[in-house]
Amino acid sequence: MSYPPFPDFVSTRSDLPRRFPSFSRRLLGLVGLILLIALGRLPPASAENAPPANTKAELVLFDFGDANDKQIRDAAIARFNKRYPNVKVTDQFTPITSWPDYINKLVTQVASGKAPDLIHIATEGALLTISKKLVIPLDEFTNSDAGKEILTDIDPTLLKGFTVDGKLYLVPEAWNNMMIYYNTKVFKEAGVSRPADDWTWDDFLVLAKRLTSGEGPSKRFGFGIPYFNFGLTPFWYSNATSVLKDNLKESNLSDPKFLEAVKFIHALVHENGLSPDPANTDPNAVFQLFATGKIAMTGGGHWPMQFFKANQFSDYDVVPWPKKAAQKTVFGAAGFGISPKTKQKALGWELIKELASSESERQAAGLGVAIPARRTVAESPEFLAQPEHAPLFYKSLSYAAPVQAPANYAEVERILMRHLGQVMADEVKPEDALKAADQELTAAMKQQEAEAQ
Amino acid sequence: MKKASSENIVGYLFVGPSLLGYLVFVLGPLIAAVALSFTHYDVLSAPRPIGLSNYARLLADPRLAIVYRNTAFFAAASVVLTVSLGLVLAVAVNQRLPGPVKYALRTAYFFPVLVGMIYAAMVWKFLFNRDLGVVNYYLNFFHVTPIGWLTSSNWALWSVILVYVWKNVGFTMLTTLAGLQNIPEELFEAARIDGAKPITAFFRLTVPLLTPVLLFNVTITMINTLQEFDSIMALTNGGPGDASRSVVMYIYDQAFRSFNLGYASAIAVTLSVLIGLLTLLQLWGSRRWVHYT
Repeated sequence: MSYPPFPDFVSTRSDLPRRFPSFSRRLLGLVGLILLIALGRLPPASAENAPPANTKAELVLFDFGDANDKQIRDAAIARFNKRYPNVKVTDQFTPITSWPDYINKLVTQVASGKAPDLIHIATEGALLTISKKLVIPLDEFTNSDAGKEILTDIDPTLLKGFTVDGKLYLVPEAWNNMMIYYNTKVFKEAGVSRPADDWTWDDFLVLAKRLTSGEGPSKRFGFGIPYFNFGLTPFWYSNATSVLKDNLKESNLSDPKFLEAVKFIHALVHENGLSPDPANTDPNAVFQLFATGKIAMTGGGHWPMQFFKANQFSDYDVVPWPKKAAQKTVFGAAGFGISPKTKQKALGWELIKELASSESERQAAGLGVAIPARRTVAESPEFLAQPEHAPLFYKSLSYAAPVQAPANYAEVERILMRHLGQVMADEVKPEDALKAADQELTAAMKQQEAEAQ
Repeated sequence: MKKASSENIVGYLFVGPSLLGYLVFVLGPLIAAVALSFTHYDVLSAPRPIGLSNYARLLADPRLAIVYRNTAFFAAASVVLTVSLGLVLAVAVNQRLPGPVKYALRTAYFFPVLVGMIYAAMVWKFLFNRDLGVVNYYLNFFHVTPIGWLTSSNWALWSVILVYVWKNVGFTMLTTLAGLQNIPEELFEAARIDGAKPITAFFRLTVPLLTPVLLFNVTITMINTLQEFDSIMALTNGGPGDASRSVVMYIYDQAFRSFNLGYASAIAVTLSVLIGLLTLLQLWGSRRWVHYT
């Protein structure tokens, strides 16, 4: 282990006055340590526990996000460099397109022998990185006072998602869920009021029909389907079903409740005409249409707000996902981990402390990037500034479940979306598409299981 | 003797960088792909030899037949349309037109070649949107039911072909135009004196003398279309289902989404062999229809 068992002792001794002869300094340190142990209290594992400020090293962070995320990371690195001016941090920043693509980039880079020191990954890639030993357990750091300070401020549900066999591998810094966004101006024009927080699929359908109006190019749609795996998941969860069984090892696509959910989404486009063809509309374009009032409601996490802020659009609010068999939505978190290949684990932890600090999360909250992992930041005025029901975001953790992300997440998503594409193109019946998808997914999960063993 | 030897060295130095690039970026990966095709390789663990299993899997994979069929259709339609339309446009802009008009037309036709496919695809995606797109907006005036240009199995591949042709026809136009301008004017004068009508001169003189350029265009377009990836990825992501997925996209899916690099390599080997065979067949067949003056 490159991390010394008592790093504070190593680091503080060099700070002692030079008039002490070497032996005396050692003796003094030893006596101090004995005294501290005798008092039943090991030294606090905070700044004095960290590598010395003059440490010279390089750290590479494998990172994702957009321009706002980059801004937050740059500020965190600048703060880190104030403490460690001789540490060069390279932020390998990847503008994110999709989780599978991001995970692929990470896996390919590690395979090429250029493993980064720190990895920023989301729930979608967490199990893969843990199972492939791309990150190490963080217990030795999180058990310190500084670590405890971070973790006690984070909801246990978020920590659970990054914990395997009782060991935490990633420090959550932000997360997202799925809520229903509604255009308050359109609601007002249509003379409809905000639905109740415990509304149902039937209520949703009635409301979407009332909000749909016009024909052809001037048509206004009641709802814009968030057509991507994470965005569709609340439809499954709110009907008490999911793509995989709870063990994440078997397909669950033969579940009649799953078929019911798929039929519901299909009908939104092809029977009721309440949503534009989602397969042809980029998820981000849906938010543009929502902001222009062409779509009255859509689904999203906290991330659309940065687009709304940038375009000075504020006529919106959020409401929980409607329920069918269950009041449930999805969440996915992002966290920072340390690569086993790094030679600078302790230094890496110091950087993680900055990246997941209150300052970073406050900045993210102000920009509308995501929901902060820290409860104190989620309760801050920056985060609650907009929309009116912003507290519902953090509260959703009480009924949200993590997005299903086995180690072969990319393949699971690919199989589901390919078959769903045929349903949404109205070319294959939902029953037939799900039957074919179930067979393919079952084979993929069996192969995954065989490879894991 | 000494002079010949030093000339050889200079020659090798000139071709050296190109040869090195070929060895590192083409031959090396090709050999690696062949070697990997006999293994199970998930990128993160070491490759495990599995003999001919990947090749046996090729025969039992129903999706492979679909993506090969899509690729063949895409390549055939794109080659025919890009080369023939390039010829028509080249002849059109080679006419006696006022200078500014001529150059404006040439620039307009060539411009899409300069635009990145992803940018172009984003615009086309917007134009082709079923419910909110410009194309269906105008068709609506003629009471045409909205068409799922990119989301219907019947239209998705045709839409990608249309975008590919729009994007690349400027290049074939340019090469054909260069070929046209190399044909001596005297030959056309002689044909006119002999009483040949413009249409006869086109088919009996222009086309035969352009056949080397046409062969070049056919070969280049065929190789490019058999390896097409970005336009399909950006426009339809291979969907709906596998309706517009190409072989190269399928290789990408297998290699970098499913992490079956061994199986992906086996597919890549079959595609390389196929492209090689088709190119040889073309060159062999060209002896019958290409005329070198």
